[in-house]
Amino acid sequence: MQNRIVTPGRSHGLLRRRALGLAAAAALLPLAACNLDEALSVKDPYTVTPPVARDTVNLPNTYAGAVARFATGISGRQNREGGLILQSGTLADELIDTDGFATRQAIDRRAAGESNAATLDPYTYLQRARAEAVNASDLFATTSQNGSVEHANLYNIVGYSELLLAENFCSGVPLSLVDVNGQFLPGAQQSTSALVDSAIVAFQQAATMAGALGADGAAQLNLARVGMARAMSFQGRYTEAAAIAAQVPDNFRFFVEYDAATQNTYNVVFQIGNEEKRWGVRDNEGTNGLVWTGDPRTPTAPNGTANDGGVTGPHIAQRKYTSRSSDVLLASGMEARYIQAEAALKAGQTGPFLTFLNQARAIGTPIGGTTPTGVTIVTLPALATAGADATAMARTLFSERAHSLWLTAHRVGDLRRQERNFGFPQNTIWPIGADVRGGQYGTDVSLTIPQEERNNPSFTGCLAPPSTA
Amino acid sequence: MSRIRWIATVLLAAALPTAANAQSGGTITGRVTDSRTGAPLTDATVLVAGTTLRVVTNGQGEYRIGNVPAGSQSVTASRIGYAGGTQRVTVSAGQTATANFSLNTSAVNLNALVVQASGREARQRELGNAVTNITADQVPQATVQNFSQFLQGRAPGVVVTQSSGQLGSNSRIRIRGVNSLSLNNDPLIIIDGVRISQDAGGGDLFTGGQASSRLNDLNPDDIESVEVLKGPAASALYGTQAANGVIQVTTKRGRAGRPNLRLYTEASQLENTFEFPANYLQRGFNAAGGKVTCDLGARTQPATPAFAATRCVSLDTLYSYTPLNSDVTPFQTGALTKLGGSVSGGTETATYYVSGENTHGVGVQRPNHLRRNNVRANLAANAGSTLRLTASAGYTANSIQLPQSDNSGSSPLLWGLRGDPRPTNIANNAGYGTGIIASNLFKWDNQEIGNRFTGSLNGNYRPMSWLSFNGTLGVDNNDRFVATTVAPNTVNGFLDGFREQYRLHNNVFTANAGATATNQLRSSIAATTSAGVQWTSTNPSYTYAEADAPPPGDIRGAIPGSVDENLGPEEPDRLFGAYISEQLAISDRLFLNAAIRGDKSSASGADIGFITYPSLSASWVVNEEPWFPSIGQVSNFRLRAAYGKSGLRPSYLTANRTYNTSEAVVEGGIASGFVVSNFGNSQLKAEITREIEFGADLGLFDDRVSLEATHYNKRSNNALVSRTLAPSFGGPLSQFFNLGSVSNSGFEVALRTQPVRRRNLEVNLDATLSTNRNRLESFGDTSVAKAGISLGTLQWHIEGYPVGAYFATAYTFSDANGDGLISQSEVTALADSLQTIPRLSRTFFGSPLPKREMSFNADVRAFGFARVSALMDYKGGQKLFDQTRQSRCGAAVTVAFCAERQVPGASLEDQAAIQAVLKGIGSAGFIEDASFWKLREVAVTLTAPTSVTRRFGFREDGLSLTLAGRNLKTWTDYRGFDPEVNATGTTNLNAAELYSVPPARSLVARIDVNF
Repeated sequence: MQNRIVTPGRSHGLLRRRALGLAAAAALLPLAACNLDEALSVKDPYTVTPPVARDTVNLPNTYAGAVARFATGISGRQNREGGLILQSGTLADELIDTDGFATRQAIDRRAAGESNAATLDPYTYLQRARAEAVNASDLFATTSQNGSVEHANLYNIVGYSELLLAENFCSGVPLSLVDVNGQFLPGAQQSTSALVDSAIVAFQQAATMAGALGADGAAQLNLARVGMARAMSFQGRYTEAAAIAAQVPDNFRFFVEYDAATQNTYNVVFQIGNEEKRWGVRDNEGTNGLVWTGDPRTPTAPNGTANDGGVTGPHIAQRKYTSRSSDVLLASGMEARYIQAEAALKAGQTGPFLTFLNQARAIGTPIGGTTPTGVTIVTLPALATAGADATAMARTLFSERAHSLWLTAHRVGDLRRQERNFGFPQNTIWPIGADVRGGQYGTDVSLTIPQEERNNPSFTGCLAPPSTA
Repeated sequence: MSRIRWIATVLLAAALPTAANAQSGGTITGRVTDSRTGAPLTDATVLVAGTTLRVVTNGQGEYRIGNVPAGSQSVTASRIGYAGGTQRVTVSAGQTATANFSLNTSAVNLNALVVQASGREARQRELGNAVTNITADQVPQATVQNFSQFLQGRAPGVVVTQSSGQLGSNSRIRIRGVNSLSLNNDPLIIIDGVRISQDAGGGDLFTGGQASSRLNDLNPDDIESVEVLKGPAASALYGTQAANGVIQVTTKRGRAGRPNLRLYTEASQLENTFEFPANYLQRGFNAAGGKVTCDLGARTQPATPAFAATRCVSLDTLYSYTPLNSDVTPFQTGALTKLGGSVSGGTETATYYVSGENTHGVGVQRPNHLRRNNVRANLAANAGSTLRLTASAGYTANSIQLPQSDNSGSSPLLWGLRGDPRPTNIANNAGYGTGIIASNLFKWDNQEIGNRFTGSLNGNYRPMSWLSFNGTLGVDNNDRFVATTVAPNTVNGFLDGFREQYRLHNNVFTANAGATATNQLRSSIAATTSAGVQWTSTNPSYTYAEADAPPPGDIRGAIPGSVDENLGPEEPDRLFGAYISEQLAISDRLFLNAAIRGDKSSASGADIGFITYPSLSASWVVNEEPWFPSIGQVSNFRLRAAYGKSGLRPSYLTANRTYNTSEAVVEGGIASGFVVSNFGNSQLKAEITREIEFGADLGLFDDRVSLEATHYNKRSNNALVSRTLAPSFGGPLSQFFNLGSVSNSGFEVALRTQPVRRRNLEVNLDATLSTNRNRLESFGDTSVAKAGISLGTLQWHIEGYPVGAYFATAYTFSDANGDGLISQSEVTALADSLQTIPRLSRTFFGSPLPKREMSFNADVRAFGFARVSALMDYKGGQKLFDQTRQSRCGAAVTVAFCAERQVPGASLEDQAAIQAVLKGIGSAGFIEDASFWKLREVAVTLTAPTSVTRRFGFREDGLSLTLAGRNLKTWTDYRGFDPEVNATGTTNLNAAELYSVPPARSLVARIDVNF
């Protein structure tokens, strides 16, 4: 080695080869110091992963998720499109849009197409409530909570979600699902009647489960009974409906609960309608609309200038809900009596009909804020007569229902039933004629399934026009 | 993992003895001067070919390179704006050799240095891809108020769009079109080697559309140079997120010499030059003689009893008024002042640059304030001849107030343009529309307070002339407090008032380590190898709170009585990358480059493993070949080609099924509910963009003329698309899929000329031209291809068309009865079969993306004391939805007071556009050509004569006055406020003008003093 001639170039070559090793070492040095996968892992404590969501310890959270989605579907999201009460009330005569949004005006004018973005929220959130409840119910079934009160309520959430979709949207609502394994299960389109059938099945499951719980399950049992009876009335199955409704006691009331503590739990009917003045009340909307002001069951009050700056006149605000915490009556003994009254009328039993109507008046309409202490029950004296003939009696029935069940997402279903089951011409009960903002009222009697549903390969649009009762 | 550790340990052990084997050498010193004036050239780079040795000249133009291997060495000096010079010197061990350079000014830039991902600086001639380098002395500081304006119009292929004229608002930057349908198309921004965030993680001001700019936190006076790497062909080594290009900013450094104190003050006047249209109302009579509104609708109603009451048969009074020109206007003359300075200097071993600037201004629309304080300290130190350490620290404190505009229901601009012009409304509400209370125009208060620190530490160690190590640690720490406050009883719909606020924090941590070794394989072939790793960690988080009727107070605190909802880390992200690159330089005129980078990240939730990004490029300086004929006027000729791959990855946990918490009321108490927030997609892959570019650079007439021409073609595959889901699935309405591909192709040409180059007069005339053809090639899924994907009302992603192009229902119209009026019955939608997309009943109306861009820049320097520069800017081929005009003309009659609807005599085309909206056909008539020319900048700088500056102790060119203007004139056929604005701010692809404030014209006076 000592005699070997080492040229500078060769020396440099050796050094450089080693240097390349050094460069590579520099590149890989950090790898030597740590486990790369561990170093790349990040945690977000505010994101819930499937194992956590499926952990039986967290069943209350899974249950609350379905409750939350249902409450949003009914009331809406803060400062967004309204939920079902607002949009269906706008379509009917309960509310008018007072903020100049073209989409909401189109619903008000009974001429909303499937691209109308305002229908998306109630549709989506009722679907989300249904899906969350279905998946939560499957999870409950695998635990000790199988058959519990909460489990029964999950079935009721499924039932009411499907029933409200049937009553308020055109025929053809699909019931798809992404199950807990992530499997996409596109649902076939359901006719209105099939959707109501599906709701009834869910109510029956809830009733069976709640019935086995005895006194603990009474509220869920009655909730299911009212749901079932309401669904059967919508299908014209009055005898069965009346029989089920008769089992519901007068003092039963079930509220969807709200709270001003967080924006996700606001009663948005109050928040966006009254505070932001984006929805108001108009008597005799489109000629046929009912008169709301002056009836203690449908309290209103002047509320300054509307959000549209007065285009639709002074803002008349609903005062049934008086705060962001006001709860919404979903089902009650009062409604059960109305269902019995409707069945009696349909059967020509005018005596019992009037009795049931007056029982409902005596039970009273809850008005105000949070249950139970913040609610005032408004009762009315008995009617001496409900009308001279069946038509007049039917008018009385639907007027009584409209006032007692005002702003609870009953009105569209009532009007459709009034047309379909009692033969009232559409243009005698729905708003018609010229709209105060320009244009004419259209012919919609239901909300159109939003265009986003077209991403479901099984969906081809409404199975019947939205003008179909 | 253990295998990698073992390899690393063995390699390290093998290499360390080599590192310790230091080498002795000689020194090269010299001076670099301007051949025309003899003035020393500071900041010129001098390097020794075939080594990693390079230095920058000091304030006297002097340099010194130590540790140079003994023997004959090729030394090159270069500086932006000058033709590089090369000399061969013989270096002896322990001796000092001298190499002085006298450089000619030049339009050719082959020796400009470009910082590589490894930290190595390469000469442009070594790179096979086009790089645009913008240096501070190319940009008259008086004409740019922020970083976005620094870039605007100066780099071919780089489109900077100012979305609003509001002071402090953001701009959108796109390089070579858009690649991604659903992911961010912003380029990667790197400042002094540190990746910075352009977003603090959600929660912007409640303005109606505009957001504040994080990019503009940087003080343009601190910028030394900006390099734009335009796509994967250039940016592959930057790895994931570099698919949209990379913008590298280098801030100023001190240089050896006596301290240089620089002070400046600047005052700008900001003006809204757009004349907003008046509101009109035509009144008249119906057949019965009753007073009616005689807008287009009333004049064209059928003569049937149903319309007897409203049909207008004769005209009476035409009212017109605009509150925007009255005393009760939201507009004002704005002002912006800047006061700043820097001190820099140092020795051969340590330099410093310390600067500060205070910016304070009010915008043209009240209330719009900007207050910004910038401080920067850049330090550099040489520890011997082998180690150089640099530290950069920048701190910015912002206070920004933005007004209501764009798509805000409380915008004075909206209601000022929708107000009843009759005297009653003028008396009652100052002529504004009823949606706003004129006496409370400015009670909506959007404020943001921001603090930002960006810092880096860099070490460059050259143990041997052929080996260097480079390491950088950096952090970009950003805190923002954003609040919207409305006082009670001041804004319609908010009776009690409210405040909502976000407290946002974002932290980006960067660590780079790399090594570069050179090896003279043969006398004419040098190899350069670089390898390194990069680590980036991004940690955003924010808190939201809101309350009614909030008390006045600092927006940085909690709101009394509110519920704070900690929404937590939004998208935490960790990214690890490793790369290796190899360059072969043959005779210093043919360069072959190959590199590969592998990335692994925490994002998406799917294990997408290491993503590899290879790149290849070649550069050939043809005119230096011995065989190249001596063509009289050709002084430079280079051919280049490059290929590269980069990608965008799905964001945090996109691939996973996840749940959010949503509160529910259960039996009177608040319960936390789990709800599905993302269905996930376990099949997700990274979106990969491949780019190939070819180009040629030509220097003519002794480098007085240079022409750079580049053709690029890139294609993004596995495009990540947020696809709408049917609501009936019962979850979120979108899910990410890898769908199809997007292509961008075009040409970029930069022509730089120096027609006059005399001692007392230098004229530079530059022009750039770029084109872009953007196309959604395929969705790769027939069901999606059939349906298309909507991006709002008018914009759609449709196969075969540009991304996010405008599609609307086309219609025909005809004045069938010849009455000069278009009624609704005279407007008819085209049959579906005649529409471009029959299944959607829509027709292609163009893209909001410019197809062509040009700029012309003139820079004249005369007699050493006068400089005049001007920049003209053109963008063409794009469309913009003029939603303002549609809103004013196509709304309910109670607020539609535009001239086209109210004043008789409107063109039939305008009438048809209105009737198409009223009839429900759609908005096609309001999608307009938005091509424009703008006189973007003019600046005149006068420098005091040397006799004056010396008397007062200034430097030779130490006192100057600049008068400048920006956005001086626009030429366009666009009928809205301005063809550049965007009511959706800087959202990814949406584009529309909707009551957006047009860019303000600024007139600036600036004084620079240099001691």
